[in-house]
Amino acid sequence: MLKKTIIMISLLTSMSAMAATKVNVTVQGMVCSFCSQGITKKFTELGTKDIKVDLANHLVSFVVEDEKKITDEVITKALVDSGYGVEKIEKSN
Amino acid sequence: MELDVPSKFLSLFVIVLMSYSNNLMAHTVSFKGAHALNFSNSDEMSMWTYNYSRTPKNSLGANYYRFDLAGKSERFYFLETNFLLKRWNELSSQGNLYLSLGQGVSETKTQYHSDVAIEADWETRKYYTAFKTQGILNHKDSSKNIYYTKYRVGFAPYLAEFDQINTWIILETKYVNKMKEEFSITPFVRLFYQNFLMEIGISNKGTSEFNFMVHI
Repeated sequence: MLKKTIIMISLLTSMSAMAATKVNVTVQGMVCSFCSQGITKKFTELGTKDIKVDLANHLVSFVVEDEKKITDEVITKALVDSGYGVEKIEKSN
Repeated sequence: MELDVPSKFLSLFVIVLMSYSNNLMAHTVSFKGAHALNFSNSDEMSMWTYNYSRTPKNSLGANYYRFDLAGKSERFYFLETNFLLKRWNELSSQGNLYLSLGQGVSETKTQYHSDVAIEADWETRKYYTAFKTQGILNHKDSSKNIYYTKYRVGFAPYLAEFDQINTWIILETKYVNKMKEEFSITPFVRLFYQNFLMEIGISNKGTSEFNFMVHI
């Protein structure tokens, strides 16, 4: 019984992990960390996780649990509202 | 905004120090929903501004100015609207052009004034330049208008990442008509971390300059 429970939990955990999507966005105009604070705020409000800003490579990356909710249009709007442009959006599971 | 303990102490520290600060070039329009506070104060001038960015291209604000002109202190209170006229977002740089329009009164004689300013800036992670020209215009007597122009150029001695303390060296030239000495030159050291920014400088007149800004 315990063995079956452990297998079930492992299966459910792995399914949850597989559903998460890692998103990398190449951002235009992101040259100042003071001015870029709005980016982390905006993406936190959207419910994304593990938000990282890499100024050297012009990248904002985060993890999305529900890809249907955080579409490319939503991502673009969040960055435009923060004052930036979008060069490209890349996703991986 | 939830502040951790070090940030709370930093906030208190800079609020105390804001009374000694001078002449920061404000981010007149910031990210949507942002509140921006800028404080400047010295023997010659005070500029305290608050802006709320209702959109990425427009903010509303309130400003307080004090100028010590020929031994007489003039104080002004304005309500402002600020526009981001144009932004150039490139992969490694950003340029901005702003217009500010305000209406207000002077404290002495309660005369109506307009406040008009144009600002432009361009920056990369390494270099920065900014220009501002402003007129505080007396509705009844144009000979009492105050004109203020400032130009800045700066560089970062090292490139800091998003979660590190950033350092800049900036040189500013400033002109204010009706001041006893109209021109001044001030080298600054600028430091910023997360959403706090401060600058320290000493002008060629020997006056200390300390600027502070926070985005919330």
